[in-house]
Amino acid sequence: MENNPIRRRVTALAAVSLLGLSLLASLVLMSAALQNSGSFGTMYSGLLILNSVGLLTFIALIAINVRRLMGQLRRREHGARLTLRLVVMFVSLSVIPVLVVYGFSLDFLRRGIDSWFDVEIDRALNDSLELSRAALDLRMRELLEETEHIADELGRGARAPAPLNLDVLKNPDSTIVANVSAPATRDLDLLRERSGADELTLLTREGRLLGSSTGATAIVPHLPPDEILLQLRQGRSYIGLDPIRDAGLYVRVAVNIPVVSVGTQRRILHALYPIATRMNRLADSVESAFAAYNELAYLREKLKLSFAMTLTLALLISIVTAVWAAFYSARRLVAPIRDLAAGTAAVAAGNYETSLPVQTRDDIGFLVGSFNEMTKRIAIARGEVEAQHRYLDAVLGQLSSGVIAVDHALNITTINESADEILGLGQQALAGMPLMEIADHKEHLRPFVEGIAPLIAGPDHRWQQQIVVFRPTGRRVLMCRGAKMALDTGEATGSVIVFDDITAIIQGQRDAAWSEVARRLAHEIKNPLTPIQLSAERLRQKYLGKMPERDADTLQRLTATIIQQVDTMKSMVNTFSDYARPPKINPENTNLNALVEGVVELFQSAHHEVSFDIDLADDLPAVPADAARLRQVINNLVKNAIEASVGASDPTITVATALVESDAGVSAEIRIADRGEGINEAVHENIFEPYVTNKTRGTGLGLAIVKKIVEEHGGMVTLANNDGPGATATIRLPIARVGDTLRAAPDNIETAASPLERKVV
Amino acid sequence: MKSVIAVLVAVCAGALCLPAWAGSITIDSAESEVVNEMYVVNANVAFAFSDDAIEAIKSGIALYIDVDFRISRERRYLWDPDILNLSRRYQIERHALTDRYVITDLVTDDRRTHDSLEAAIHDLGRIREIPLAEAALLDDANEYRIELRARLDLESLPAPLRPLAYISPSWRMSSGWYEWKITR
Repeated sequence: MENNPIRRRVTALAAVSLLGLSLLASLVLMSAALQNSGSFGTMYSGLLILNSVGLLTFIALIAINVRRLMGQLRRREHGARLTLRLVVMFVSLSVIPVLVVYGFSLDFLRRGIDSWFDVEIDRALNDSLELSRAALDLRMRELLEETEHIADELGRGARAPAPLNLDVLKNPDSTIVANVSAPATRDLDLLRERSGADELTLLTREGRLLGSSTGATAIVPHLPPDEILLQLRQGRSYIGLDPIRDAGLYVRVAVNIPVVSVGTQRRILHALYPIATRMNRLADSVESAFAAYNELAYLREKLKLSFAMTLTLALLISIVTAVWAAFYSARRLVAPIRDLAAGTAAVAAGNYETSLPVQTRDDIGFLVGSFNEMTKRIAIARGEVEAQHRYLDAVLGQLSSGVIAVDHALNITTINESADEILGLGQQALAGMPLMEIADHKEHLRPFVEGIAPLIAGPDHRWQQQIVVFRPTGRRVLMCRGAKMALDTGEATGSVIVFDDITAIIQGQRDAAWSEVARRLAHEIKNPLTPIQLSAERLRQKYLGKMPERDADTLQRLTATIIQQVDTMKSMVNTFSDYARPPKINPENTNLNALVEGVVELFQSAHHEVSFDIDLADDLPAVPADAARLRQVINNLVKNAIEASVGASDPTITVATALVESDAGVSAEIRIADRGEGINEAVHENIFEPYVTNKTRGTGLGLAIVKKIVEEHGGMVTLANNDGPGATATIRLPIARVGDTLRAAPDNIETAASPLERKVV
Repeated sequence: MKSVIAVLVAVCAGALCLPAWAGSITIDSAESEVVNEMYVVNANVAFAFSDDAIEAIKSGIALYIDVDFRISRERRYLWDPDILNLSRRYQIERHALTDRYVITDLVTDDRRTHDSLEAAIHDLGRIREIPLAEAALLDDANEYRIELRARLDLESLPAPLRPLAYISPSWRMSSGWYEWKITR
């Protein structure tokens, strides 16, 4: 696979070189053809077309290259501008000298061709032609006289010619006329031999053959053309030189034969005389030279044009080859630089795996090698950093504390899984988000964000803050510790916040403390109560009968009070015991609506002074809860509401259930609202603490027990004043977390066999 | 590069703007007859050489004229197959020494000389008794067509003249096919 581009390149280079060489060869042949050298003459046109096609091929190749380069320039590809510069440079370097040589060559060419022609040579050739003609004229005049002499002879001794052999005369122009008065062929032969003519022919004035005598030149006589006959009919003799193929020059003489007697037919004597061999040769030489010179003179401009065209073609082929070579070389030179540029861009974009092929062993090859080494090292370093990052993530992931790191602009840079869990973020991607925006996504985190943001921005390098957030699943106390991070140079880069959910710890500590108090109280108080009660009873039994009636009444009332108060104290002690006992709940799928209805019914029958407004949700599923303990909770709250409603203008108690969906999951909500006086602001904050109460009577443990039971169920209870009169107690019991499946509420409190109904999303 | 293009443009433009009068060859008449069991053709062709061509002849350039003959059998639905293709080649040139114009039939080597170019051109056009085919070659059952064309052979011109001759109308001379039916 690796060899393919190289092989392709070599093939392309070889093909183009071959094309260039063949064009060069055809140019040489074309030049030869122009100079009429042998068989090349016939190839001229073909060569011209071949060269033009070759030229067009190169131009097409260049056009492809130019188009490609323009595209690269438009797309701002790496190396395109460098390629353009190199191409312009190469082309300038090659074309300018070639054009200079072309200009001079064209000039030399013109001068060279012009120098072939000279007035002197021209005149000399014309003179030699004239000389030849003059020499021949002399001879021709002699021959004319000789022929006229023969004609006179023939005219004087006119005799009938012997019949001619018709078969011999195939010349279509000759019509043999028999039985006319003409000399016998033998006489003509004699006359021919005497005169030295090659051919003697006797014709009528219309051109019909009467007789002939031919020598060595031809069997068939050469008859005079019509124009000579015409001239003779006009009474003028004809004499001229006639070039006869392969036989050199002949003198053609045609004369009228004088008419001696009236009635004799008018006849013509036609004679062909050879020119002496030497003279013939000389004349031929002069003729050839003159003809060649004349032809050349005629072709002078065309020759210049043709040579210029050949030269131009050679120039064009050289230039287009050079331009193509410029493109090719530039591309080859720029290829590794372009790769380098692309590689650098890739590295800049974060791709550190970039490795470039080292194709040459020159400086560029060294550069490419260095680049590869650089990217390799960067990749290794990046791998190490990533490994450290993963290690840090693993460490942070194992921490039970939540960790959030922010930069100086309070953008979150790192957040670990425990932070997600503690804050109830629900796996929302927070990295990169500004810290303040968390509150926009999770409203319950606003106290957290608003609590720590000023501390992060503040001057303290280390700080600590306890922050309470109300998650859908309940109130959470977070212990947050923050520290500013700084580089070795001292430049601040942000802060790290570590926080723990200490709700359970605090609750545990409080519960433990209260349990201890309650246990001790119960223990310390319960012990003397029985002797007090027994003593009071004995006191009554022993002295009641012995006392006068008035005192007996007093005793009776006092002991009854003691016994009753001791009972009350016992009951209080029992309540303390209840509170102090360790949590023990048996959660079962409970129909909350049924539970609420049961409790409300009980109170409705006993308290006619208040009215109940019940609003139960139909879609409430089964809640995992201990029904007996939950009933105690509802009992307490309804009882509180009734107590608060006594004396109110509108003693209506609203009891409602609802299904509440939040980020943390689905909860069942029970709201019990009265329209009484509401909660005193002074006790509102710690209303669920033991011995914090709004009422003048009561143990002060009711709401504490409510809260304990609700929290034992994983739920949350709040008590808040209404916008109007009264207060509302709200209990939220978790039914399912996100992803869990809800169960339908059982028909009765204890059972829970209903099919799956829907899934929490 | 621009100068090269300019030269090329000048060459082409120059060639095309040569004397607008183009040469022509017209076949005035042509006929065939049977002589001695041979079909022979007689034709009169009018050569009107352009000034360029006449100047070339006068300057000693030999011009070659090809006269092409074609006999084909006529068919109604299919193409007409050629029975015979024949070409005669003539040369016209000036002999400088004698100042005469020479017409040469290059097939028979027959030579005729004339004092004037006009006479020579006229003589060139007189095509007489060119034997084409034996009469027996053509049967009575079919119809035959004889076609005749005369043209100036540019490839025989001197090489420097050829590129111009190819693009200049004054050199492109061809009569087109002249046809007639054979009557038996």
